[in-house]
Amino acid sequence: MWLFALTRLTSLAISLLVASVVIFLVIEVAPGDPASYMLGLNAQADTLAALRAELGLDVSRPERYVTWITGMLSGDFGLSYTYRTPVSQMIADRLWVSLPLAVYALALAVLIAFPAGLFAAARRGRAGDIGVMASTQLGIALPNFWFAMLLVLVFAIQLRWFSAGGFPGWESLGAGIKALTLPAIALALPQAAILTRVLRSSLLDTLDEDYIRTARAKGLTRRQTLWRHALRNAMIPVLTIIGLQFSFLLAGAIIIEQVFFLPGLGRLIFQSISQRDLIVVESVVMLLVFAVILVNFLVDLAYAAIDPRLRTQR
Amino acid sequence: MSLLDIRALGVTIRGIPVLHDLSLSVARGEIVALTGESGSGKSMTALATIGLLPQGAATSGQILLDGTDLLTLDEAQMCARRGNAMGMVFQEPMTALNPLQTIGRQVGETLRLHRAGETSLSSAQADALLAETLARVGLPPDRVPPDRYPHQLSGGQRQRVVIAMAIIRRPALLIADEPTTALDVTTQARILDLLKGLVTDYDMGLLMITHDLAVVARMADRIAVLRKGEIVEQGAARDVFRQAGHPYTRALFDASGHRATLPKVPQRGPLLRVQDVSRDYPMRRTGLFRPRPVFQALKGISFDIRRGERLGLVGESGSGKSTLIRAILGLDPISGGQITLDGRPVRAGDPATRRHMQAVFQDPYSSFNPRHSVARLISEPFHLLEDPPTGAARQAAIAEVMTAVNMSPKDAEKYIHAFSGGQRQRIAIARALIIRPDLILFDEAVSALDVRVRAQILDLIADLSPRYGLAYLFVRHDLSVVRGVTDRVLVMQAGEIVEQGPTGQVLENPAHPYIRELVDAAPRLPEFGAQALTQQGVWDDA
Repeated sequence: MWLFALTRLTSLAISLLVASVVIFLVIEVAPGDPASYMLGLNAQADTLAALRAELGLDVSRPERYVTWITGMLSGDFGLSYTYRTPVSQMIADRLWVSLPLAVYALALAVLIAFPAGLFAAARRGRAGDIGVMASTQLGIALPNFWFAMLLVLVFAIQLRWFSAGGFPGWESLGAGIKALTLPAIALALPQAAILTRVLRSSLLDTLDEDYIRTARAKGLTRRQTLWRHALRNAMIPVLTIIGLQFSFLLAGAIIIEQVFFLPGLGRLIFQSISQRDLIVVESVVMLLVFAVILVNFLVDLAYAAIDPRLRTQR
Repeated sequence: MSLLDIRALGVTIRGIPVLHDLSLSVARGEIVALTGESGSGKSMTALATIGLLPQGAATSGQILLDGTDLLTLDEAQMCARRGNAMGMVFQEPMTALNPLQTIGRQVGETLRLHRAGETSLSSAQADALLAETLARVGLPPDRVPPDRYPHQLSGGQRQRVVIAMAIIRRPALLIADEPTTALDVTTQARILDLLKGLVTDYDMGLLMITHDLAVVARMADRIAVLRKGEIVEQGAARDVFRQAGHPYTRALFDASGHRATLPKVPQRGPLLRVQDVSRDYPMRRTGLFRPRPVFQALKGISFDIRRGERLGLVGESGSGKSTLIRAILGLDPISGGQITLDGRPVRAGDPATRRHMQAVFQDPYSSFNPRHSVARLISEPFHLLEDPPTGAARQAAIAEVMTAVNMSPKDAEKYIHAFSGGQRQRIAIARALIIRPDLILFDEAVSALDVRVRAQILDLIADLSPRYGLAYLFVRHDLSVVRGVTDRVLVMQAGEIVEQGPTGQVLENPAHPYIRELVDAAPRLPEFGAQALTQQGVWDDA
C-alpha cells in the first residue's frame, strides 16, 4: 500500500511539472500582448517598452517560466496586470467561495445519488426503478441554470427563504452557507442525476456477478447481498465519476456564479481572459490542474483502499 | 425416507418449459449424478432446489427436503435454509468469490448469518469451527491464512473455499453444479476426492451435476440422465453403465469415449520448426532499485511439425501452452530462439507466413463478430492473399468450405447467433480452411462442446487433414481427447516439454512421472459390460 501511494505520488509530481510547462507555453503563444492591451491602440513605443519591463515581459521565456514557477512555489503568484494587486490574494478570495460551493454541491449530489441509486438497483425493472430513471433523465437533460432560475423564482422571490444572489462572506458561517445553498442545489441536481445512473448501472452489473449468486446460496437475502457484496464492489466507477465531478464543479460553475452573483473562480477566469490578464489566467489554470491531479491521486488511493487486487504486489 | 425428494417438478421460464415431470431423490450419504448435455436443464434443477431460479420462472410439482416442500416456502424461509440445510458449489471458482473480501470472512459469513438466535456458539467457537472447516477442505490456516484474498489463490484453492462456505453449517444436502469442469485434471481428481470424503464424513446427500460421464463413473452411486428437461434414464450407476437402456444414454456413452479414425498419411519434410524458443515476462520489482525478476513462460522449447502431421500438445493451465501458441502465430514476440514455417521466420503481422497458418479457438460464442454475416466472417482470411478471389470465385470458395465442414452453403447468408455451439465451431474451422493453409492450430477447440458434438467435430478434423493435406497442432488440457486425433503428442509442464512421442505410447507407458500423474488423475469412462467394469477396477466391490 505504501509503495503504491509512493508511486502514485511520484506520478503526481511529474504530471504537475509537465502541466506547468504546457500551460506556460500555451498561454505564451496565445495572441495578444497584455502591455499593448492595457495601453490601448495609441500607445507610444517607449511607454509600451517600459510597461513590458515593469510586467517582467522583456526577459526570455525560460527565465519567465522559472520566475513564475519559483514564485508560485513560495506562494507569490505575481501581480495582476489589470488590477495591480497580488494574484494570490485574488485567487484566495475566490477560492473561499468556489471550494465550499463545490464541496457543498458534491456532498448534496452524493447524498441524493446513493439512496436513489440503491433504491433503483434493488427494484430493477419495476415502477420505482423506472421512476428514478425517468427523473435522472430529466435531471441530465435540463441545464443547471434552468434549475437555478427555478430555485430563485420559488425560494427567493415567492417564498423569500433565501436571497436571490450575492455572497455576504464567511464572517457569519450560517449566512455563508445559506447564500451558497441555492447555487449548490442547482449545481448538484444534474450531477446527482449522473451519479445515480452510474451507481445504478454499476450495481446492476455487480449483481449479475457469480459471487452474488454464491452469496445468495449462503442464505443472504437480496437486500443483504446488495449492501454487503454489491455496494463496495460497485464503487470503482462511482468514485471515478465523483472525482471528475469535483474538478468540474470547482471551475465549471461560471454560469451558476453569474446567476447568483457569486464572486467565484469561474468568473475570475472569464474576466481575466477577456482582459488579457495572463498572469491570473496562468495561475488559476495551474491551480485547477493541481486540484484535478490531487483529486485523481485521492481517487487512486480510494481505489486501492477498496480493491485489494490493486494494492498487492505480485 | 429420502433426504431430497423431487416429485414431478416442472419449471417454465417466461412460459417456455425447461423442466418437465422431473422426479429424483437423494438419500443421506448418497451421491446422485445428474448428467446430460448443455441446455438439458441440469442447472435449472439445482437452482429450483435451492430456490434461485431466474426471474420469470414458474414451478409446479414438489421439492421435498426432509419432508418440507421447498416450493411452498417464502423467501425468508428459503434464506434460512440456503447455506444451512443445503449448500451449493458452483462451476466457476474464479468468479464465485467476492474479490474484495478475505476468504475467512466469506466462509465465516455463512456461519454468522445462520448463527443468529443460537447463543450456544461463542465467537471463539465460531473461529475454531472456521479454522476446522478450512482445514477439512484442504486449506489449513497455517498454510493458507484466512486473511488471503481470492486473487491470491489458485483455481483449485478457490473451489475449496466455495466448498467450505457450502459445508460449514454441515448441511444435509450439498448440490455441486459442474464443480470441477473449470479445473485441471489433477486438481479435479483432488476436488472429487474431497467431495466424496465429505459425503462420507458428514453423512450428506450430494446432488452432483456434471456433463462428464467419466466423472460420473468415478463418483456416483446413482445416475439420472436428463434430456431436454426430462429424465430419460435413472438408476444405480453400475446398472446404467452396464447396460444403458435408453438410446440417448448409449449415444452419450459412445460419444464420450469417441476416437476418430486416423487414416495413415505419408509424412513429408518439416513444416513448422520451433527451435530453442524461450519467452520471458518481466515481473514487478521487489524493491525500488532491485532488478526486475523474470518469469520464464517458455524455457527453450524445440519441436518440428512435419507436413500432414497431426500433433497433440498437452499440459495443465500455466504450463505455457497458450504462450507457445501465441508465439507460433506471431502474436507475441519471443525472447530467444527461432520459429520458422516452411523455412521463413514467423514474424508478427507478416501475411506471408500467416497465409499458411490458421487457428481455431476455444470459445465458439465470443470469437465471432455478431454483426457480420457468416460469409463475411469466413472470408476474412482472404485479406492475407495478394490476389483474393472476388465475385463468383469468392462465392464458390465460401460454398466449398461450408460444404467441407458439413454445412449448407446457404447458411453463409445468416448471422452467427442463428447457430449452435457445434455449428459455430464448424464455421470457425471453415474460416481457417478457406485460404488452404498448411497448418491449423486447434487451441482447446472442442473444450466448450457437448460430447456428441465434440465427437462430430473430432471426426471432421480427422477427415479434413488428409483431404486438404493439412498438418495440425491440437492443444488440449487433458489427455483423453488428444488420443483420438493425433499421431504424436508433446507434454508440457512449467514451460518445458517433458515428454514427446507417438500418442499411444506416451499415454500407455508414460516415462515421466508428471504424465503418469496426469493419466492417473483423468477419470476414465468404463467400457460397457460387467466384465469390462470389474477388469478396470471401477467398481472393485462388484
